[in-house]
Amino acid sequence: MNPYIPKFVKILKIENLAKGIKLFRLAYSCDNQPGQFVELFLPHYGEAPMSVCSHSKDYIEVCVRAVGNITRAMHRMHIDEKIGVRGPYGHGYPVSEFKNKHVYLIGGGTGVAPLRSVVHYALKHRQTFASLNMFFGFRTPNDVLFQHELKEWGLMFNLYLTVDHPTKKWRYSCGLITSLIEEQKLINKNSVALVCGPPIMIKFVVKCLLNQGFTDEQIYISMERLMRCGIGKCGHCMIDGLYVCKDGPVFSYDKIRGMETK
Amino acid sequence: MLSKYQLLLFLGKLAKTNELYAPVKHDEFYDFERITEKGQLTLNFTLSLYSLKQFVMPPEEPIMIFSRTNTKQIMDVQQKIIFGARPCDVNALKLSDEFMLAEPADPYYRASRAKLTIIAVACQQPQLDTCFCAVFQSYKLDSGFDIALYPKGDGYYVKSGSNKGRALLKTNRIKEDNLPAKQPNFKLNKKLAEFKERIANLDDYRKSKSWEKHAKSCFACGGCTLVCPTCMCFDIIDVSELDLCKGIRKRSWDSCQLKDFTRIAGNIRFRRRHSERMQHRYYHKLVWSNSCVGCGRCSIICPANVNMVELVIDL
Repeated sequence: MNPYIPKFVKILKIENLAKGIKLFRLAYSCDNQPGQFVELFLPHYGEAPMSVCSHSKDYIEVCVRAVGNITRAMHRMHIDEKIGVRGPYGHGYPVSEFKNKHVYLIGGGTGVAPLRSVVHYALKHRQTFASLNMFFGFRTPNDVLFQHELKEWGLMFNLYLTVDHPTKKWRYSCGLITSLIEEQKLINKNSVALVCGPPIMIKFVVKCLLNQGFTDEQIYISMERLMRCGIGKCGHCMIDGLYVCKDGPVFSYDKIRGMETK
Repeated sequence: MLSKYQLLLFLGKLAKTNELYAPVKHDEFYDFERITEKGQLTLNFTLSLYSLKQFVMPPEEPIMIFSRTNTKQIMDVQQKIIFGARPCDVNALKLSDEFMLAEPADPYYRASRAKLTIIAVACQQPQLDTCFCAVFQSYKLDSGFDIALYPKGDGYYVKSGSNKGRALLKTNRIKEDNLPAKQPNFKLNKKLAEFKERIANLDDYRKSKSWEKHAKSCFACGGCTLVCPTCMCFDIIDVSELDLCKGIRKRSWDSCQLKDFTRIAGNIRFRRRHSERMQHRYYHKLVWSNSCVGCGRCSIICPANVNMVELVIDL
């Protein structure tokens, strides 16, 4: 098996999630661990790493925001067209270690997507976690991702939503995600927090969690770097001797403290 | 014992039937070049400017062709014999083998490596002023070669290091020698001793102001990573044909010293400062992977005269 050669698979489903953000379901069967990523290949546009936001043996789903050449080209694609995939790569969230623990998912914007794979895992493995608590933040109510699913999740798990700019219809909180966390007083014993989002959000959420008595080892963050090869050879994603593609992209905070911007 | 005359005859014969590469002088430095006639060969060569890396990972290598819905692997590797690898190069190759062949192994590296036959020549003393192999003891030639030649007077002791090497010696009726127990031992001078001491606790020097001082003279050209025998970073580039029906995927050498090396979506770059990139390379070589062999090529090629040993001592 040559790890550099992508396999072409069909697009099964495309869903508009928000302005400029689409969800693609690809006919790529793999046994992915929540939090892992794949390399998507669009001939003549190039290859880009994307985190898998589903947990299923039959397909993978990726949440794509149109920001660059490859992602914009993807947004122009239709169902049944083919796309190259290789992976999944790296170490995701060690969900088996979270058994009987309180799990806090803290996500901002498209950072919610990788965390969705953990929720899908929880839906499949009921009663694995002591509790599942979600704190998701978005810019406006229109930017809220996975709206239909969130309604279901809200019934089964603890869901807290916040937006920066609310509308009149908005029933949830508004403001920073950190103030939401502070309000709720998280349980820091026998619990883990998985944080994913823009670097500035990660920085303040981690600070807030540490203030609430979480230890570095209890906090998991997902790193974003240029991952060309995906197998720890090409060197682009290396930070302080760690390969984000192979040793990560999910790290417990004690392993990468101070390296967020390196 | 193999005399110089016998060695030239052996190499001349190899050149006729094989792809033989040996050091040939260009301006000031030697470089591995395809040997087609005996006249090109020389036995008085020093360290080549480029390492053996080019034979296991060519500067640009096609790895796949693709259409809109299909891909096909390309792997076109020829048998090659390299004469004149120095001990530091052989030791560097052992390190890159360890890295590139660790699971999941790199299939292109593995294929090129398997088709390489290495005839190494030991050093009796450091060859250039820039050599600092004494620090890492990488002047020792114990394994990693197919055939090794140890200079002695007007000839060489011959030793094989693999079945491939043994077979090559046998077909050419060259006998192996028992090596004398005493092999040359390169001594550390004061500067190198200080360097060795410093790299043992290099982590304490991360915040040194000297990084910034030396980075000021660095052009961030990436020359050091180009000639480094253990710098294996590469980029993957897709090149499309004009009709946009087909394309070719290539991998080419890349350098952590270039500012776009870490660029991700949204034009975000990490390690934006020269000093950060310089530090990244030094710590990678000397601390995280211990993959420096002290060949000194980075100091030879640097247009700004940044010298690894002097920089580290100055921290």
